Amino acid sequence: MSSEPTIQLAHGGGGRMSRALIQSEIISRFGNGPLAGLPDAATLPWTGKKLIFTTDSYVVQPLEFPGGNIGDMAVHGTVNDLAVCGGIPKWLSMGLIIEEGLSIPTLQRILDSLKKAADCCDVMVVTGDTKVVGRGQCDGIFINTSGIGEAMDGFALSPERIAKGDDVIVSGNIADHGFAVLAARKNINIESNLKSDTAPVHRLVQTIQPYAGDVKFMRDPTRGGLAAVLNELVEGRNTGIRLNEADIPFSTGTRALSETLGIDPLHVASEGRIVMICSPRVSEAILAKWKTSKEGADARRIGTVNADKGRVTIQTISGGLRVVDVPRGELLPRIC
Amino acid sequence: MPSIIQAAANRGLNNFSLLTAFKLVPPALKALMTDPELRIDAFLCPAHVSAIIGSDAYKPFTGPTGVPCVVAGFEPLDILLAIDGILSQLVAGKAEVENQYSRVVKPEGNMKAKALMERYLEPVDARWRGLGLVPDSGLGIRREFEQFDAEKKHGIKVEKGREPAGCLCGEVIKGKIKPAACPLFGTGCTPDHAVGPCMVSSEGSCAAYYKYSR
Repeated sequence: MSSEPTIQLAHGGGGRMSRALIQSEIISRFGNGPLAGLPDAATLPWTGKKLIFTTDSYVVQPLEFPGGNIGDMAVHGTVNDLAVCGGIPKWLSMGLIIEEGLSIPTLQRILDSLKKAADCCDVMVVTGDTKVVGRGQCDGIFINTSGIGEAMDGFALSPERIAKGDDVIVSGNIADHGFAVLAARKNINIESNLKSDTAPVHRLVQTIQPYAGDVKFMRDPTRGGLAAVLNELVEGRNTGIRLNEADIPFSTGTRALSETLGIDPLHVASEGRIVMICSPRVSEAILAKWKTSKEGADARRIGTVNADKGRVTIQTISGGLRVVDVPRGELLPRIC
Repeated sequence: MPSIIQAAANRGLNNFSLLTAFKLVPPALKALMTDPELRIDAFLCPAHVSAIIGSDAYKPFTGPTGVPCVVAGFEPLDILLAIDGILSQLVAGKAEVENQYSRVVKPEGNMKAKALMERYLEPVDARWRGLGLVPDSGLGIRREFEQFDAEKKHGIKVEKGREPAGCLCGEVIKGKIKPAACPLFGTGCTPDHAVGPCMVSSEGSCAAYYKYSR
């Protein structure tokens, strides 16, 4: 039996233990804004034009993996959803559902990471909720974060604007997150130095605001990977996408795991990357801007939009042409 | 590293047993070679199986009455290299074993693994989709260790599998028909709603044909 203190049902009961937990773990980290005083809702000043709003839930297993944990993922994922819609992330809500028996030091590490990530992203956690469920009713901890951002001027993102000849760009190595989480799962038993790519991408979006008008679409390729995002984009349309395998950036760890396990990296999640469709007029400038930053150092142009209706294809390094299909079934469950 | 059966025996465990369904590739190749309706030109031999049994295991299928046997890895370039090897042999009139996955496969295979198989397992008859019952084409637990054989210990009877009505996976797997010739292809049987194994796996013939037929 571990001698570490653990979360009890009483911590979610609303009584003394609840309040003590909130004080020691939540207020201590996030109490410097609207959360102080624990109102039922946060009142926030708004002078912007359009408001962008998103939500995401995080159920990743294991809770801690090389390169990150569920805490910083819960910030990056939601910040990124706002960013790829042309938003400047400002505020987050944080809903925690904790399993009875979760070690408190583990919770503390997760919340420390969440706090650190929020600070790095210049976003504030302004409201939240904490519940505890019985053993076996969730898996360690589930986190939901909703985010509010302010729409940036100049962006008019819509799949309808995508046209033949547009470029497909990614901001860096693809699929590191999914493979890092997979390698960390105990039953896989693979040693690798692969780290998750979980990271915020909002600064990448902000640096290319001068070219916003020529950016047609952005997304962070999470569940289902690049294949899912690109197929969704062209489904039922008059355009298609042709990728060039030799141009898609992968880390050595991802290449090795992909070959060993026979899993297509195009189907695997990234958590700190942008895939963008833009006019070829601005591709070079965008790539140049991104490559000056740490998050975009490996940015690359990986393909073009063509007239191949509704299909995503890839020119392979062995000289063939393959169809990039939507991934079927649950390839890598509980990845984000 | 001892086998799990040995570890259980050493500890005198009586609450542990294995239900096995091991298949041996060489007897299946022999069944294909002797099928009067098939005309095998060559074998593209499996990668990980060969890592255990060794590329020498395919020698019986080569020679004057045999065919080229080339061991291939999984990547597209591995397959292309192996096909190139097969074609070169056919053009030269040769029928030899060639190992194109030498980064993993040795001629003698994995001697430790083979010794374990020899010690704890013995050939048994096994059923194959498309081939039916092939004598000595499976592996069962040796009588000496039958207390760890779940079928014997618990009196389990594994029933003969029944092919779903209309499914021609057996014929596709043997290369007798192309996927499109199966009456269920693309209609009752699709990757999202697969009837037979050829459509389920991303490596299945029917799944591949389906993907590229549209």
